[in-house]
Amino acid sequence: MAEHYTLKSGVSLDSTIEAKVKKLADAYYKLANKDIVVTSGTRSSSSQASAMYGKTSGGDKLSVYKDQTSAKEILNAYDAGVKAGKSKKEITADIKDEIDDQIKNGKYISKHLQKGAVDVRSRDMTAADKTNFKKAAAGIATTVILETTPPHFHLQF
Amino acid sequence: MQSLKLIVFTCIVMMASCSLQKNSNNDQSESRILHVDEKALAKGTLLLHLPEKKPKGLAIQTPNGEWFVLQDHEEAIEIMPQTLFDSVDEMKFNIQTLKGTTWRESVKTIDVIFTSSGKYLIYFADNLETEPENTFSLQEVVDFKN
Repeated sequence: MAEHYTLKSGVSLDSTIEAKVKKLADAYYKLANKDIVVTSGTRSSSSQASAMYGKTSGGDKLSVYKDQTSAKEILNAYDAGVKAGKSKKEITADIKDEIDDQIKNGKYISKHLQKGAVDVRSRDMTAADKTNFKKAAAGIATTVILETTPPHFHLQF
Repeated sequence: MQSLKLIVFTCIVMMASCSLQKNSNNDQSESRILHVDEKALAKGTLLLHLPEKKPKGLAIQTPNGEWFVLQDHEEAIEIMPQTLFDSVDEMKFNIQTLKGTTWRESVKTIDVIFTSSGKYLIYFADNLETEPENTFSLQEVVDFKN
């Protein structure tokens, strides 16, 4: 039987989560006769650090982050690295260490640092498709949020 | 071959109704963060000053919440070749003709973006389909008066 989901380039899921995505995609296909596209999965702290280095080195003050305390800690790690004359690689490693410390304390600067976080394309869904998707996800995902900036479904399994 | 490349490039740029600049003398280009020139916007030009390292995708959200994708190479949506997009530090678009890709009732549609007054979100991200916290992203809101 054909799979009813595809993973966007660069997205990988562990086998447990992928099995749940497959179950969800099959349920959605039965309701909407459409496939789903997984646009993001769980992110490592080093990948998160690399993205945040890009933002901070571009002058961004990380104001977009909901957890401003954690964002400030990361900004401080970046500023300290620059002040000490560290290289990009060294500063990114410092940011990673900061993110790892935050995770140890149960703080996640991005929801995707948590195992089981998955995003699914919603931009090409009709209102009825979105309703069907939520129905399909019920009982499979623990959380289903229709994000609007930018549009996508965020799921937690 | 070089001439052909130049012609193809020129056509793409003309189709996109935009102009690009690598080394601007404008003061704002010294800024390393994303900056949208509000004065140029009032005159009908969306002028974006960009940091050296920027995300690889671009989308704009309209005041009514509709999203238009302008650059998403992986999905074959390009306002300019990706290598050019990655290298320019300034982009200039004609507001009257600037088009993006959106989906209306599941139908992929290309349409003019700036049609009404209000706040528009200019959103650059490596991944245009995840939270801004989960990807390298830059954004700025501009107030457009039609």
